[in-house]
Amino acid sequence: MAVVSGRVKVLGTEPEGRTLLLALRGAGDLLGEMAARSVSSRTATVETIDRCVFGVIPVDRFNAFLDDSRAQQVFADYVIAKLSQTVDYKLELVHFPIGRKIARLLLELRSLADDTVADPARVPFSQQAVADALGLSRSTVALHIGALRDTGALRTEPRLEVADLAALRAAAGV
Amino acid sequence: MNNTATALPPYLAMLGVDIRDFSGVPGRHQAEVTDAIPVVMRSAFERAGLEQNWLDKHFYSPSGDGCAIGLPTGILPFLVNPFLFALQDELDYRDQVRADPVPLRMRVSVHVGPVTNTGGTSDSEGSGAARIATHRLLDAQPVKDLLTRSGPTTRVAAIISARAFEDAVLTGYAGAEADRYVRVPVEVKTFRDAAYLRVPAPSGGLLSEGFQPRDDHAGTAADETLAPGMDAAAVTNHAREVHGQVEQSRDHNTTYTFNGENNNVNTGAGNQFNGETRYYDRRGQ
Repeated sequence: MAVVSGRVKVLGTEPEGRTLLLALRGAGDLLGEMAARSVSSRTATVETIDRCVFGVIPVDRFNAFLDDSRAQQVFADYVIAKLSQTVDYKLELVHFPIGRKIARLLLELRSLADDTVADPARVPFSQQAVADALGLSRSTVALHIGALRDTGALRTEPRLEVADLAALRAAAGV
Repeated sequence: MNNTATALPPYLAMLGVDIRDFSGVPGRHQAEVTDAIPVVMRSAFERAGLEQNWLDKHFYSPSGDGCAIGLPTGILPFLVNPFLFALQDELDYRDQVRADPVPLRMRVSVHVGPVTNTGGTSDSEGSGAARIATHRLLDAQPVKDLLTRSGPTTRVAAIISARAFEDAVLTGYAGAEADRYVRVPVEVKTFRDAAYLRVPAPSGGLLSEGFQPRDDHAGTAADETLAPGMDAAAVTNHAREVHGQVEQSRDHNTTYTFNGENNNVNTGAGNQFNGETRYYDRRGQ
C-alpha cells in the first residue's frame, strides 16, 4: 500500500498493552510492504492522522514493477532503512533535552503535511498525545509548549499551531 | 635539525567530516549546507548522549564542505559507538523533515594523536601530523567508494585510523565487535597506513558485494597483514542472507560464491562452514 497523500502514525503495543508511537509516515511512503514479502506476523498498526489517500498494489504487480524498473535493490534498501527506524519513537530521542524532543516531534508532523492537508500548521496531536508519544508528563509538555510559544515558534493559545518554522527548527536543533 | 627533544603536545581524539559531493550542491544552497554542518554535529552528539563532550571540545575547525573537531581522548570509543550511528540517524531525521536542499551524506574519519592545544582560539590550534592524518583518511579511496557504491539510505561512511582502532575497538572500550570493521590499506599523498571501514547503515553494493569492490580484491589481498595485537580469530566475517558474491581478503584469502535461493557454497577456499558440515582448509599445513 502506498501513501498518496495525508499523514499516518505507525503504532506498536507495549507488553502491558499500552500503545506506542513508532514512526510517522507521509506521502511517498509504503505501508505493509514487509508483510507482502514474508509470512511474518503483523508488526505494527497504522492509524491515519489526516484524510488520506492510499494506493493498494497487489504483491505480484508490485514485484513485477520492481523487476521491470530494476528497483529491487532500491526497495531492499528502503525496507532495511525503515526497519532500523521502527523502534519506539521516544527511544530515538532519549538523549535530547526535553524541549528538543517536543520540537522534533512537532517539526516532523509539520514537515510530513502535504498540500492536501487542510490545515498543515495545526499540530494534529493534543498535548496529552505529545506527552504519551515522548514518554513525558502532560505538565512537562505544557511547560515546554509555553516556551515554544514565547519564542514565536508556536502560535499563542488556544490553538496548537506552528507559527514560525525557522524558530521551530532552531528549537529542534535542525 | 635541532637535536634537542621537545615535549609532545597532548593527545586528542579527532573527528574529520566531509560532505559527499558538496560541489554538486547548487551554488545558491552551498552556504546553507556549510552553516548546517555544526548544527548537524551538535545534534548528533546530543542524540548520542554526548552533549557534554561536544561542549568540552578543544577545537572546531570548519572547512566549507566539512569540519575537523578535536575532543578529549576519553571520548574516542564513543566516537566509534554510538556517535557514528547517531550521525546516520540524525541525517535520516533531517531528510525526513527536509532540512537540507539535498539529503546530506558524509564521510567521517576518526583518529587520535598529539596536536597543538593551548586552550586558545588561534588558527594553529589542533595542528600536527595527527591532524593531517585525520584529513588524509577522509580522502582515502576506500571510504569514498563506500558512498559511491551504496544507496541514498547510507548516509555515513566512516574510516577509523589503525591507531584509533587499536586503542578504542580492539581493547573493547568501544563495545563494538572488531569483526564489523573491514581493514583496508590507505594511500593519500605521502600518507600510507592501514585503516578500518565502518558503515552504520549499509545498502546497495555494500550488501551484495561487501565493503571492498571486487576489482580491488586482487590488489589488496597481498597487502593484508594483521595489526599488532590482533589475532586471526578477531577478524572473522559473517555474511547472512547473501545474494550475489561475498569475498574476504584477509589471512585466509577466502572466496565464496553464493548462487540460488539456498545460498549453496559453490566455490571456495579456506575454512568453510555449511550447516553441520565443516571443511577445514589444511592444504597449507
